[in-house]
Amino acid sequence: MECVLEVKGLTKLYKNGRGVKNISFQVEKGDVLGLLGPNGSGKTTIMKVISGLCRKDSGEIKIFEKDAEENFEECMRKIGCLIEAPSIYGYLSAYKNLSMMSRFYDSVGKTEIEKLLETVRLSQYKNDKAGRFSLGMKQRLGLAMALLSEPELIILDEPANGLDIEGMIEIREIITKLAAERGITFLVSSHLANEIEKTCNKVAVIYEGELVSFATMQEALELNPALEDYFLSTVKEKRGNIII
Amino acid sequence: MKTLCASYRNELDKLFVNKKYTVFLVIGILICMGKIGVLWAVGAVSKGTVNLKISNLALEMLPFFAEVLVPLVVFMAATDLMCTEIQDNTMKAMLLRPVSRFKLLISKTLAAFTVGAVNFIVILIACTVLEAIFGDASKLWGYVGNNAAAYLIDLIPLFVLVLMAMLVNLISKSSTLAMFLCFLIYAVMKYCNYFVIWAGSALFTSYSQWHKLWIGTAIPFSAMSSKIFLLIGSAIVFFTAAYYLFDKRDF
Repeated sequence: MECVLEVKGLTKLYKNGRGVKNISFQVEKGDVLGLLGPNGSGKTTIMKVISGLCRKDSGEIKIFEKDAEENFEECMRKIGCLIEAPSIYGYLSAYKNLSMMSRFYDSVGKTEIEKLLETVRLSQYKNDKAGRFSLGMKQRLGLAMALLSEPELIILDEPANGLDIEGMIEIREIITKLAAERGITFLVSSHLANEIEKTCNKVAVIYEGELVSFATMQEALELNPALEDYFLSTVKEKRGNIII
Repeated sequence: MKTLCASYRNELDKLFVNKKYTVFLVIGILICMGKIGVLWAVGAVSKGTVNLKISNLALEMLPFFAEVLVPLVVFMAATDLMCTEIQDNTMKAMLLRPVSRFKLLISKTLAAFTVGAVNFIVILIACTVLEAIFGDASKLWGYVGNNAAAYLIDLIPLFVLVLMAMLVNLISKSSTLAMFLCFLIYAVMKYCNYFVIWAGSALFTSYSQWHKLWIGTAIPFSAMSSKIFLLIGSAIVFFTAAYYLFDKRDF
């Protein structure tokens, strides 16, 4: 299997001492890897470092077997990201937001933008200013911006944030469909075990800035009735180690 | 180069969609019209005793625009593109695209500079047209080329000013503070030569009316070269410091 993303010994510590320490994992083509962990565990930090928003202290990140820092532009051409709240220019329309971003890609034109707006159900609001959108609409526009370049790797940080039940199911369906039909690889983070369980085929548990476990969904659910139980058992193990 | 052009176009789009820059252009034109109005009013009130004629309006207005209005506009543009975007978290939208931070900083700088340059061009055209209508059109053609050169030359120190504004924006934590600091630093640099004599020739802000050194009496190149290198040096220092801060910043 082709390795899409390789993180080796990644360490990023903030001034307050929080961050992530010695994180290593691999994501293969077509995988939907879920980063599961409580708030503040370091999921977003990992994603920010991978996407170049934060500078790492040490470690190595390879995207399609190329160093992400040295080949930044080349790597980012193959990646779509939605990290934390979607970054949208509120004073521009949804269409203008997307058309501005499309300038960086040769293959994206008006037709692709229109199609994408339809996919995220924003076609009828395409000329409205994005600042007036509801949280869910902004999230959908953010998702459209991540999908814009038809990326081979998509990084989604809490993609269901602010979405209603229908919206959450839609996002889940989009991820599953893209992974199955186009072989797009996903790195998704969430603090909701149920969400990860339904969306991903692999799971990495992040706890207090460390990678506690990495397993396929099948392995995780072998001895546990739900991913929630798997999470609790691995975290308990980790806590036990600390006490010892 | 393609990504740089795409990024530059995006930054320009963001600025020109903002109506305040159009308002400032209109204000500039109104100020020029106001000047003509004042000259006319003085003549009318004195019943022709005091006859103030319009003579080279574009060059007369240039110091005000080069030192006050256009710096204000470029400070606003730099703040909108840098500090405001960092503050409202929209900077991420560009950082997550296939464009390096180096190119992004260049495109932002060029976009802010372009807004200033557009102001200069519009004011030059407006002054020329106004003088053609209300002044002596026959004399106008004698100095129109000279005026264009003067405006063009004053763009050079303006570029350094934009770089300084970018650096200040990367140091500041809020857009209000950035604007305030831009003005404060500019004012201090501009007028400190009244208190510290050597500062007059050692700071780049002393050359905001650079055309005065080039147009008119000839100045030996050796004397000018030190001033040219001062501007280049200032530009390099500001850009390097701004890039260092921008590149190591976590978003």
